[in-house]
Amino acid sequence: MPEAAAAEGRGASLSPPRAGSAQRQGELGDEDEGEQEEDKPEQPLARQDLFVCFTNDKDLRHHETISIKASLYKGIAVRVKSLNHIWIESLLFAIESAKDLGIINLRFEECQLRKRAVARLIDFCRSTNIIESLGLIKVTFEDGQDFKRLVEAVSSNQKIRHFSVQSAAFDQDYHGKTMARCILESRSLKELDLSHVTFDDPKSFYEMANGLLNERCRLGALKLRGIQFGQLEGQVMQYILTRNKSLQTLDLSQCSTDSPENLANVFGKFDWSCNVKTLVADNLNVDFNCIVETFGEALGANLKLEGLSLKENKLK
Amino acid sequence: MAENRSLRKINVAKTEVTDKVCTKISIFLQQPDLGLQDLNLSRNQIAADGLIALADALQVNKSLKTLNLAQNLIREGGLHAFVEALKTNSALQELCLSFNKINNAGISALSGFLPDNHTLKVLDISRNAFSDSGFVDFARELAHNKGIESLNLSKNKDVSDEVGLR
Repeated sequence: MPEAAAAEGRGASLSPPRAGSAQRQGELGDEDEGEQEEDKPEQPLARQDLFVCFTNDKDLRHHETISIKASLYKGIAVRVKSLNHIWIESLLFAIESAKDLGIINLRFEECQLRKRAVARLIDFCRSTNIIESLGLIKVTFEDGQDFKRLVEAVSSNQKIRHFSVQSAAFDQDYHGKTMARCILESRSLKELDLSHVTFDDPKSFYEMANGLLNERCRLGALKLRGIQFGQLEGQVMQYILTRNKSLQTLDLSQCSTDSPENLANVFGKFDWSCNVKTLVADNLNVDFNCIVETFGEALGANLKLEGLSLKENKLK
Repeated sequence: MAENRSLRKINVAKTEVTDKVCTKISIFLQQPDLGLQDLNLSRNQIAADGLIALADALQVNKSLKTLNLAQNLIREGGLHAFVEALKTNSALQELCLSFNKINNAGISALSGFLPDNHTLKVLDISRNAFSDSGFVDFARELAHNKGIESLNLSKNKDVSDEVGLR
């Protein structure tokens, strides 16, 4: 997979979760309404939502250091430019040897994973029953095929419920096929976050969707925030909305399109045939007026949707 | 959308909802057998006419339990109609009017529902523009209310503890 988008600067050691894990699925994210950004009261985060973020490779050299620093948190985020097998070893040893710490979330951000580091991570993913959520955010691989191997390992894991592959470039159809296999083969996966993935090879979206269109699909939540909907993606999404029976939550926030008709057709499928219960479509990068009529008509016939968030669109 | 009966929660915060759009929302809320329980209209441009439209809806709506109108353009206008609706509404349990511009006359008008409505449990009127002199009426009527369990008055112009204790 080619280099992902540029890194977003942040140097703090404590990292509140990002889009991939910040909000539990099914929530419509209105907890901060009525407060201006600069005047928000401090909201205590639940422990499971807190990550300790390692941004310095020196902190990853000794598993004892990792254990001590992570002892108050449920998650570890790692953001170093290049991650080798020694640091991964320390990190995973710290997690495995301190099960009592209860670290259940692991996230890599803006890293390049070296080949031997991925090999160790694959072993970990095949065997661990500790981690419940794994995030790869703007992660690149020294060997492009390692993405496939790692996702296969996640598929075989029986504990990981939330898997996030954000801001990646799916420029080969095997990226989509790999995700489809993961959707179908994983016994534990409930939520898949592919936000801000660029489907540079449109076939990769089609291939990924094959997993969602299969009747064996058991995925409950799909996040596709910031996806660009071309004609093919729009048509495939319509099929998903019509045929998929398992998805309860869908997040299409910040999606964009080169033609509003593509998104209008997608939103027109939230009708009687759609099984989604919670739709989040905040801040769409499209003139909402272009879709409101079709969407409203579909909603009139919808029988399942219980939660709808349209924050930050322009309902004129 | 008017025919939809499955929706329980709608969040349309920060969507530039004006009084005109609010009128359409009001019509939706007046549909019989509506299941909607939670409506977030915060950070919009709802003023007097929008509030009156919502009052019309609350006169007949029996499902809405939570209504968030924070950070709109609510001052004094429309509050009398809204209070009249609250007097008869027995579904609404949480109302957020925070971060509006409710002044002394507005808070005095708002107090009118307190003796008659005993189902509203949570009221947030923080970050408005009233002071002690306007809050006196509210505090007096509050004594006759049996529903309010949580009242947020913080960050208003000048509300002192003494008024609440009288």
